[in-house]
Amino acid sequence: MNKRKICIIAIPASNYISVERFVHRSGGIPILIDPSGLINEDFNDCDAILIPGVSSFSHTSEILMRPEINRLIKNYISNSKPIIGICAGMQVMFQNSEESAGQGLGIMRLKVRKLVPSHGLPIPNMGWYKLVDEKKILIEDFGPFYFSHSYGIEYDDVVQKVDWALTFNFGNQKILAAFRFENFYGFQFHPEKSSTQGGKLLNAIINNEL
Amino acid sequence: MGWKCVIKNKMHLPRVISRIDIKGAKLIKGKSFEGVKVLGDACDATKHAESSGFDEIFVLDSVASLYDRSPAIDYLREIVADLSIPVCVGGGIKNYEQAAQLFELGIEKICINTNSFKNKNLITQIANAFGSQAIVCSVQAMNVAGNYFASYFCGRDNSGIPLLSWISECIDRGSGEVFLTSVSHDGHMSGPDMNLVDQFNNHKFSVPLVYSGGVVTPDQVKVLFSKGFHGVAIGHAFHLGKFSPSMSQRNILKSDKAS
Repeated sequence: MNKRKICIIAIPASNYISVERFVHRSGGIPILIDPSGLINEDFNDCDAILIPGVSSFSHTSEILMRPEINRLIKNYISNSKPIIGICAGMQVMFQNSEESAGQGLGIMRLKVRKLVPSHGLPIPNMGWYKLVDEKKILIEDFGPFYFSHSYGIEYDDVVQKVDWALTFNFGNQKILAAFRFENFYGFQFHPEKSSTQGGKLLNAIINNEL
Repeated sequence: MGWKCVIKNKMHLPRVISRIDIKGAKLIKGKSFEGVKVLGDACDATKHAESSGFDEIFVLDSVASLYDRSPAIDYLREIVADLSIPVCVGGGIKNYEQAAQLFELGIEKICINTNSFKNKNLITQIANAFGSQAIVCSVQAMNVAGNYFASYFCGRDNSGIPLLSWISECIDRGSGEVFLTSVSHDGHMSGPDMNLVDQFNNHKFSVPLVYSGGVVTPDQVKVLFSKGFHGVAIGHAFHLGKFSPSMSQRNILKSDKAS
Protein backbone atom coordinates (compact mmCIF):
# COMPACT_ATOMS: atom_id res chain seq x y z
CA MET A 1 0.00 0.00 0.00
CA ASN A 2 1.16 3.53 -0.69
CA LYS A 3 2.25 5.46 2.34
CA ARG A 4 -0.49 7.74 3.57
CA LYS A 5 0.19 11.47 3.78
CA ILE A 6 -1.14 13.26 6.83
CA CYS A 7 -0.93 17.02 7.11
CA ILE A 8 -0.44 18.35 10.61
CA ILE A 9 -1.30 21.94 11.53
CA ALA A 10 1.85 23.07 13.34
CA ILE A 11 0.07 25.04 16.05
CA PRO A 12 2.72 26.93 18.06
CA ALA A 13 3.12 25.74 21.68
CA SER A 14 1.36 22.46 20.84
CA ASN A 15 2.59 18.88 20.65
CA TYR A 16 2.93 18.93 16.85
CA ILE A 17 6.54 17.75 16.94
CA SER A 18 5.75 14.57 18.83
CA VAL A 19 2.70 14.11 16.59
CA GLU A 20 4.94 14.44 13.53
CA ARG A 21 7.27 11.76 14.90
CA PHE A 22 4.27 9.61 15.78
CA VAL A 23 2.90 9.72 12.21
CA HIS A 24 6.34 8.83 10.90
CA ARG A 25 6.74 5.99 13.41
CA SER A 26 3.31 4.64 12.46
CA GLY A 27 4.31 4.37 8.81
CA GLY A 28 2.71 7.54 7.43
CA ILE A 29 4.24 10.62 5.83
CA PRO A 30 3.77 13.70 8.04
CA ILE A 31 3.47 17.06 6.28
CA LEU A 32 3.71 20.07 8.57
CA ILE A 33 1.65 23.16 7.85
CA ASP A 34 2.99 26.40 9.29
CA PRO A 35 -0.20 28.35 10.06
CA SER A 36 1.68 31.63 9.59
CA GLY A 37 3.23 30.53 6.32
CA LEU A 38 1.91 30.07 2.82
CA ILE A 39 -0.97 27.59 2.63
CA ASN A 40 -0.48 26.12 -0.81
CA GLU A 41 -2.57 23.75 -2.91
CA ASP A 42 -0.42 20.71 -2.06
CA PHE A 43 -1.89 20.61 1.42
CA ASN A 44 -5.23 19.61 -0.10
CA ASP A 45 -3.75 16.38 -1.43
CA CYS A 46 -3.06 14.61 1.86
CA ASP A 47 -5.12 11.63 3.01
CA ALA A 48 -6.07 13.28 6.30
CA ILE A 49 -5.61 16.49 8.27
CA LEU A 50 -4.59 16.45 11.92
CA ILE A 51 -5.18 19.12 14.58
CA PRO A 52 -2.75 18.62 17.46
CA GLY A 53 -3.48 19.62 21.03
CA VAL A 54 -1.97 20.49 24.41
CA SER A 55 -2.28 24.26 24.25
CA SER A 56 -5.45 26.16 25.19
CA PHE A 57 -8.84 26.17 23.46
CA SER A 58 -8.68 29.85 22.55
CA HIS A 59 -5.18 29.53 21.09
CA THR A 60 -6.17 26.49 18.99
CA SER A 61 -9.41 28.19 17.93
CA GLU A 62 -7.58 31.35 16.85
CA ILE A 63 -5.38 29.29 14.51
CA LEU A 64 -8.26 27.28 13.04
CA MET A 65 -10.35 30.38 12.40
CA ARG A 66 -7.66 31.95 10.22
CA PRO A 67 -9.30 32.10 6.78
CA GLU A 68 -6.73 30.00 4.93
CA ILE A 69 -6.61 27.27 7.58
CA ASN A 70 -10.40 27.29 7.85
CA ARG A 71 -10.73 26.91 4.08
CA LEU A 72 -8.27 24.01 4.15
CA ILE A 73 -10.27 22.18 6.84
CA LYS A 74 -13.51 22.76 4.88
CA ASN A 75 -11.83 21.19 1.89
CA TYR A 76 -11.18 18.02 3.88
CA ILE A 77 -14.77 18.06 5.13
CA SER A 78 -16.21 18.29 1.62
CA ASN A 79 -13.86 15.60 0.30
CA SER A 80 -14.87 13.25 3.14
CA LYS A 81 -11.30 12.81 4.29
CA PRO A 82 -10.56 12.24 7.97
CA ILE A 83 -10.13 15.30 10.19
CA ILE A 84 -8.35 14.13 13.32
CA GLY A 85 -8.16 16.14 16.53
CA ILE A 86 -5.99 15.36 19.54
CA CYS A 87 -6.75 16.71 23.05
CA ALA A 88 -7.37 20.48 22.62
CA GLY A 89 -7.57 19.68 18.89
CA MET A 90 -10.53 17.40 19.68
CA GLN A 91 -12.14 19.89 22.06
CA VAL A 92 -12.02 22.61 19.41
CA MET A 93 -14.30 20.48 17.20
CA PHE A 94 -17.16 21.38 19.57
CA GLN A 95 -18.84 24.78 20.02
CA ASN A 96 -16.89 26.44 22.82
CA SER A 97 -15.19 25.78 26.16
CA GLU A 98 -15.32 26.76 29.81
CA GLU A 99 -11.54 26.93 29.72
CA SER A 100 -11.11 29.97 27.51
CA ALA A 101 -12.81 32.08 24.85
CA GLY A 102 -13.04 31.31 21.15
CA GLN A 103 -15.24 29.50 18.67
CA GLY A 104 -14.81 25.85 17.85
CA LEU A 105 -15.65 24.11 14.58
CA GLY A 106 -19.11 23.44 16.02
CA ILE A 107 -19.74 19.88 14.82
CA MET A 108 -22.14 19.63 17.78
CA ARG A 109 -23.63 22.45 19.83
CA LEU A 110 -21.76 21.49 22.97
CA LYS A 111 -19.54 23.25 25.46
CA VAL A 112 -16.33 21.59 26.69
CA ARG A 113 -16.47 21.55 30.49
CA LYS A 114 -14.02 21.27 33.38
CA LEU A 115 -13.77 17.76 34.84
CA VAL A 116 -15.65 17.38 38.13
CA PRO A 117 -13.36 16.30 40.97
CA SER A 118 -14.71 13.37 42.98
CA HIS A 119 -13.34 10.33 44.85
CA GLY A 120 -10.27 12.45 45.66
CA LEU A 121 -9.11 12.40 42.04
CA PRO A 122 -6.75 15.21 41.18
CA ILE A 123 -7.08 17.52 38.17
CA PRO A 124 -5.33 17.67 35.70
CA ASN A 125 -6.16 14.02 35.10
CA MET A 126 -2.90 12.41 34.04
CA GLY A 127 -2.41 8.75 33.38
CA TRP A 128 -3.31 5.65 31.39
CA TYR A 129 -6.81 4.28 30.91
CA LYS A 130 -8.31 1.32 29.18
CA LEU A 131 -11.41 2.32 27.29
CA VAL A 132 -14.94 1.03 26.90
CA ASP A 133 -16.23 0.55 23.36
CA GLU A 134 -19.75 1.97 23.84
CA LYS A 135 -21.23 0.99 20.50
CA LYS A 136 -19.40 -2.33 20.20
CA ILE A 137 -18.26 -1.77 16.67
CA LEU A 138 -14.50 -1.85 17.03
CA ILE A 139 -12.92 -5.15 16.27
CA GLU A 140 -9.78 -4.84 18.33
CA ASP A 141 -9.09 -4.31 22.01
CA PHE A 142 -7.39 -0.91 22.00
CA GLY A 143 -5.52 0.54 24.92
CA PRO A 144 -4.37 1.60 27.39
CA PHE A 145 -4.00 5.21 26.29
CA TYR A 146 -2.36 8.20 27.95
CA PHE A 147 -4.47 11.16 29.10
CA SER A 148 -3.41 14.58 30.33
CA HIS A 149 -6.32 17.01 30.56
CA SER A 150 -8.51 19.14 32.82
CA TYR A 151 -11.51 19.56 30.48
CA GLY A 152 -13.66 17.13 28.56
CA ILE A 153 -17.00 16.11 27.03
CA GLU A 154 -19.42 13.75 28.77
CA TYR A 155 -20.50 10.74 26.74
CA ASP A 156 -24.19 11.21 27.61
CA ASP A 157 -24.20 14.46 25.65
CA VAL A 158 -23.05 12.86 22.39
CA VAL A 159 -24.46 9.32 22.60
CA GLN A 160 -27.15 9.99 19.96
CA LYS A 161 -24.79 11.63 17.51
CA VAL A 162 -21.51 9.76 17.34
CA ASP A 163 -20.87 6.85 14.96
CA TRP A 164 -18.72 5.16 17.57
CA ALA A 165 -17.24 6.14 20.90
CA LEU A 166 -14.66 5.01 23.42
CA THR A 167 -15.09 6.20 27.02
CA PHE A 168 -13.63 5.94 30.50
CA ASN A 169 -14.90 6.76 33.97
CA PHE A 170 -13.45 9.74 35.79
CA GLY A 171 -15.05 9.67 39.22
CA ASN A 172 -18.79 9.86 38.55
CA GLN A 173 -18.43 11.06 34.98
CA LYS A 174 -18.30 9.00 31.82
CA ILE A 175 -15.88 10.94 29.68
CA LEU A 176 -15.62 10.80 25.91
CA ALA A 177 -12.17 9.46 25.11
CA ALA A 178 -12.49 9.01 21.34
CA PHE A 179 -15.25 9.27 18.77
CA ARG A 180 -16.18 9.44 15.14
CA PHE A 181 -18.77 11.89 13.86
CA GLU A 182 -19.07 11.81 10.07
CA ASN A 183 -15.46 12.31 8.97
CA PHE A 184 -14.36 13.91 12.25
CA TYR A 185 -12.25 11.76 14.57
CA GLY A 186 -11.48 13.09 18.05
CA PHE A 187 -9.12 11.82 20.73
CA GLN A 188 -9.10 13.24 24.23
CA PHE A 189 -6.03 11.11 24.95
CA HIS A 190 -2.62 11.33 23.34
CA PRO A 191 -2.19 8.55 20.76
CA GLU A 192 1.30 9.91 20.06
CA LYS A 193 2.29 9.12 23.65
CA SER A 194 0.39 5.88 24.11
CA SER A 195 3.21 3.52 23.17
CA THR A 196 2.37 1.30 20.18
CA GLN A 197 -1.41 1.43 20.79
CA GLY A 198 -1.76 4.90 19.27
CA GLY A 199 -0.28 3.89 15.93
CA LYS A 200 -2.75 1.03 15.48
CA LEU A 201 -5.65 3.42 15.97
CA LEU A 202 -4.25 6.02 13.58
CA ASN A 203 -3.66 3.44 10.87
CA ALA A 204 -7.15 2.00 11.26
CA ILE A 205 -8.62 5.48 10.69
CA ILE A 206 -6.41 6.38 7.76
CA ASN A 207 -7.18 3.04 6.10
CA ASN A 208 -10.93 3.67 6.53
CA GLU A 209 -11.38 0.71 8.86
CA LEU A 210 -12.97 2.76 11.63
CA MET B 1 -8.44 2.83 50.91
CA GLY B 2 -6.21 -0.15 50.11
CA TRP B 3 -4.32 -0.47 46.89
CA LYS B 4 -6.03 -3.62 45.63
CA CYS B 5 -9.48 -2.25 46.30
CA VAL B 6 -8.65 0.71 44.12
CA ILE B 7 -7.55 -1.56 41.30
CA LYS B 8 -10.71 -3.60 41.53
CA ASN B 9 -12.84 -0.50 41.14
CA LYS B 10 -10.52 0.73 38.41
CA MET B 11 -10.81 4.23 39.75
CA HIS B 12 -7.20 5.12 39.69
CA LEU B 13 -3.87 3.36 39.57
CA PRO B 14 -0.54 4.86 40.59
CA ARG B 15 1.67 6.22 37.86
CA VAL B 16 5.09 4.65 38.07
CA ILE B 17 7.69 7.04 36.72
CA SER B 18 11.27 6.36 35.70
CA ARG B 19 13.56 9.07 36.97
CA ILE B 20 16.66 9.55 34.83
CA ASP B 21 19.26 11.97 36.21
CA ILE B 22 21.59 13.15 33.49
CA LYS B 23 24.74 15.13 32.94
CA GLY B 24 25.29 15.76 29.25
CA ALA B 25 24.61 12.44 27.50
CA LYS B 26 25.34 10.35 30.62
CA LEU B 27 23.04 8.69 33.11
CA ILE B 28 24.20 9.68 36.58
CA LYS B 29 23.10 9.14 40.14
CA GLY B 30 24.19 10.56 43.46
CA LYS B 31 23.10 10.15 47.04
CA SER B 32 21.17 13.13 48.38
CA PHE B 33 22.32 14.88 45.16
CA GLU B 34 26.00 14.50 46.21
CA GLY B 35 28.84 12.25 45.04
CA VAL B 36 27.43 11.87 41.54
CA LYS B 37 28.54 8.75 39.61
CA VAL B 38 28.17 7.94 35.93
CA LEU B 39 26.03 4.80 35.56
CA GLY B 40 25.71 4.62 31.79
CA ASP B 41 24.27 6.26 28.70
CA ALA B 42 21.15 8.40 29.11
CA CYS B 43 19.61 7.39 25.73
CA ASP B 44 19.92 3.70 26.60
CA ALA B 45 18.32 4.41 29.97
CA THR B 46 15.24 6.15 28.54
CA LYS B 47 14.73 3.42 25.91
CA HIS B 48 15.04 0.75 28.59
CA ALA B 49 12.51 2.54 30.81
CA GLU B 50 10.08 2.87 27.89
CA SER B 51 10.24 -0.81 26.96
CA SER B 52 9.97 -1.94 30.61
CA GLY B 53 6.48 -0.47 30.86
CA PHE B 54 6.99 2.67 32.96
CA ASP B 55 4.11 5.12 32.67
CA GLU B 56 6.27 8.20 32.21
CA ILE B 57 9.88 9.26 32.03
CA PHE B 58 11.28 12.12 34.08
CA VAL B 59 14.62 13.40 32.82
CA LEU B 60 16.40 15.66 35.26
CA ASP B 61 19.63 17.55 34.72
CA SER B 62 19.87 17.80 38.47
CA VAL B 63 23.06 19.84 38.68
CA ALA B 64 22.27 22.41 35.95
CA SER B 65 21.07 25.10 38.35
CA LEU B 66 23.93 24.48 40.74
CA TYR B 67 26.44 25.24 37.98
CA ASP B 68 24.20 27.97 36.55
CA ARG B 69 23.89 26.06 33.28
CA SER B 70 20.97 26.28 30.86
CA PRO B 71 19.18 23.09 29.79
CA ALA B 72 21.45 21.06 27.46
CA ILE B 73 19.06 21.14 24.50
CA ASP B 74 21.26 19.20 22.08
CA TYR B 75 21.81 16.30 24.47
CA LEU B 76 18.16 16.34 25.51
CA ARG B 77 17.04 16.16 21.89
CA GLU B 78 18.92 12.87 21.54
CA ILE B 79 17.72 11.55 24.88
CA VAL B 80 13.99 12.22 24.44
CA ALA B 81 13.72 11.91 20.64
CA ASP B 82 11.13 9.42 19.54
CA LEU B 83 10.00 8.19 22.94
CA SER B 84 6.42 6.97 22.61
CA ILE B 85 5.44 7.59 26.23
CA PRO B 86 5.14 10.91 28.12
CA VAL B 87 8.29 12.77 29.08
CA CYS B 88 8.96 15.51 31.62
CA VAL B 89 12.27 17.41 31.53
CA GLY B 90 13.74 19.51 34.32
CA GLY B 91 16.94 21.21 35.41
CA GLY B 92 18.20 24.76 34.96
CA ILE B 93 15.11 26.19 33.25
CA LYS B 94 15.33 29.94 33.87
CA ASN B 95 12.82 31.59 31.59
CA TYR B 96 9.90 31.25 29.24
CA GLU B 97 12.11 31.06 26.15
CA GLN B 98 14.01 28.03 27.47
CA ALA B 99 10.73 26.36 28.38
CA ALA B 100 9.40 26.95 24.86
CA GLN B 101 12.61 25.52 23.37
CA LEU B 102 12.18 22.36 25.45
CA PHE B 103 8.55 21.92 24.36
CA GLU B 104 9.82 22.14 20.78
CA LEU B 105 11.59 18.82 21.45
CA GLY B 106 8.16 17.21 21.65
CA ILE B 107 7.99 16.66 25.41
CA GLU B 108 4.81 16.90 27.51
CA LYS B 109 5.95 18.63 30.67
CA ILE B 110 8.75 20.67 32.10
CA CYS B 111 9.81 20.81 35.70
CA ILE B 112 11.11 23.80 37.67
CA ASN B 113 12.54 24.16 41.16
CA THR B 114 15.40 26.57 41.78
CA ASN B 115 14.24 29.28 39.39
CA SER B 116 10.69 29.33 40.77
CA PHE B 117 12.22 30.81 43.94
CA LYS B 118 14.10 33.43 41.96
CA ASN B 119 11.41 34.36 39.44
CA LYS B 120 7.97 34.54 41.01
CA ASN B 121 6.12 34.76 37.67
CA LEU B 122 7.83 31.92 35.83
CA ILE B 123 5.36 29.14 36.70
CA THR B 124 2.32 31.30 35.91
CA GLN B 125 3.79 32.49 32.65
CA ILE B 126 4.48 28.93 31.46
CA ALA B 127 1.11 27.64 32.71
CA ASN B 128 -0.72 30.37 30.80
CA ALA B 129 1.07 29.55 27.56
CA PHE B 130 1.21 25.74 27.70
CA GLY B 131 -1.49 24.81 30.20
CA SER B 132 -1.03 23.80 33.84
CA GLN B 133 -0.72 20.11 32.89
CA ALA B 134 2.58 21.03 31.24
CA ILE B 135 4.27 22.59 34.28
CA VAL B 136 5.52 20.49 37.17
CA CYS B 137 7.03 21.94 40.33
CA SER B 138 9.92 19.99 41.68
CA VAL B 139 9.93 20.34 45.45
CA GLN B 140 13.03 19.19 47.32
CA ALA B 141 12.04 18.47 50.90
CA MET B 142 14.73 19.12 53.51
CA ASN B 143 14.39 17.86 57.06
CA VAL B 144 15.63 20.37 59.63
CA ALA B 145 15.20 19.02 63.16
CA GLY B 146 11.96 17.27 62.26
CA ASN B 147 10.46 20.15 60.28
CA TYR B 148 10.35 20.06 56.51
CA PHE B 149 11.29 22.98 54.29
CA ALA B 150 11.53 23.52 50.54
CA SER B 151 15.14 23.62 49.35
CA TYR B 152 16.88 24.39 46.06
CA PHE B 153 20.27 24.19 44.36
CA CYS B 154 20.28 20.38 44.50
CA GLY B 155 18.92 20.27 48.00
CA ARG B 156 21.76 22.42 49.34
CA ASP B 157 20.04 25.69 50.16
CA ASN B 158 17.08 25.89 52.50
CA SER B 159 14.53 28.48 51.37
CA GLY B 160 13.17 28.66 54.91
CA ILE B 161 9.65 28.22 53.48
CA PRO B 162 7.69 25.40 55.18
CA LEU B 163 7.17 22.56 52.71
CA LEU B 164 3.37 22.45 52.63
CA SER B 165 2.93 26.20 52.23
CA TRP B 166 5.45 26.19 49.37
CA ILE B 167 3.51 23.39 47.63
CA SER B 168 0.27 25.37 48.00
CA GLU B 169 1.96 28.41 46.53
CA CYS B 170 3.26 26.44 43.52
CA ILE B 171 -0.27 25.17 42.84
CA ASP B 172 -1.72 28.68 43.22
CA ARG B 173 0.79 29.93 40.68
CA GLY B 174 -0.51 27.42 38.13
CA SER B 175 1.56 24.27 38.53
CA GLY B 176 -0.41 21.16 37.49
CA GLU B 177 1.72 18.62 39.32
CA VAL B 178 4.11 18.44 42.26
CA PHE B 179 7.20 16.25 42.09
CA LEU B 180 8.38 15.78 45.67
CA THR B 181 11.88 14.54 46.46
CA SER B 182 13.20 13.66 49.89
CA VAL B 183 16.71 15.13 49.88
CA SER B 184 17.89 12.85 52.70
CA HIS B 185 16.59 9.67 51.00
CA ASP B 186 17.34 10.46 47.35
CA GLY B 187 19.57 7.78 45.81
CA HIS B 188 20.01 5.80 49.05
CA MET B 189 17.68 2.91 48.14
CA SER B 190 16.75 2.61 51.82
CA GLY B 191 12.97 2.89 51.35
CA PRO B 192 10.82 6.02 51.24
CA ASP B 193 11.08 8.82 53.80
CA MET B 194 8.05 7.92 55.88
CA ASN B 195 8.44 10.98 58.13
CA LEU B 196 8.06 13.10 55.04
CA VAL B 197 5.16 11.00 53.77
CA ASP B 198 3.36 11.52 57.08
CA GLN B 199 3.48 15.30 56.62
CA PHE B 200 0.79 14.74 53.97
CA ASN B 201 -1.58 12.72 56.17
CA ASN B 202 -4.09 15.52 56.61
CA HIS B 203 -3.40 17.47 53.46
CA LYS B 204 -5.09 16.91 50.15
CA PHE B 205 -3.88 18.93 47.24
CA SER B 206 -5.95 19.55 44.12
CA VAL B 207 -3.22 18.46 41.67
CA PRO B 208 -1.32 15.16 41.35
CA LEU B 209 1.51 14.58 43.80
CA VAL B 210 4.50 12.39 42.87
CA TYR B 211 6.93 10.96 45.45
CA SER B 212 10.62 10.40 44.77
CA GLY B 213 13.48 9.27 47.00
CA GLY B 214 14.63 5.86 48.23
CA VAL B 215 11.93 3.66 46.71
CA VAL B 216 13.11 0.12 45.87
CA THR B 217 10.23 -2.36 46.08
CA PRO B 218 6.71 -2.68 44.64
CA ASP B 219 5.37 -2.85 48.20
CA GLN B 220 6.84 0.57 48.93
CA VAL B 221 5.07 1.91 45.83
CA LYS B 222 1.80 0.48 47.12
CA VAL B 223 2.30 2.06 50.55
CA LEU B 224 2.90 5.46 48.96
CA PHE B 225 -0.16 5.08 46.80
CA SER B 226 -2.33 4.13 49.77
CA LYS B 227 -1.00 7.27 51.51
CA GLY B 228 -2.47 9.41 48.76
CA PHE B 229 0.41 9.92 46.33
CA HIS B 230 -0.66 9.72 42.70
CA GLY B 231 2.68 8.77 41.28
CA VAL B 232 5.97 7.29 42.45
CA ALA B 233 9.33 7.83 40.79
CA ILE B 234 12.05 5.18 40.72
CA GLY B 235 15.64 6.10 39.95
CA HIS B 236 18.64 4.22 41.25
CA ALA B 237 16.81 0.93 41.99
CA PHE B 238 15.74 0.54 38.35
CA HIS B 239 19.16 1.47 36.96
CA LEU B 240 20.73 -1.23 39.12
CA GLY B 241 18.17 -3.83 38.03
CA LYS B 242 16.55 -4.11 41.47
CA PHE B 243 13.13 -2.80 40.41
CA SER B 244 10.72 -3.74 37.66
CA PRO B 245 7.61 -1.56 37.10
CA SER B 246 5.18 -4.48 37.14
CA MET B 247 2.48 -2.36 38.84
CA SER B 248 2.65 0.57 36.45
CA GLN B 249 -0.70 1.58 34.94
CA ARG B 250 0.51 0.45 31.53
CA ASN B 251 1.60 -2.98 32.67
CA ILE B 252 -1.48 -3.67 34.78
CA LEU B 253 -4.00 -2.44 32.21
CA LYS B 254 -2.28 -4.30 29.39
CA SER B 255 -2.48 -7.60 31.24
CA ASP B 256 -6.07 -6.92 32.33
CA LYS B 257 -7.82 -8.35 29.27
CA ALA B 258 -11.22 -8.56 30.92
CA SER B 259 -11.87 -4.82 31.10
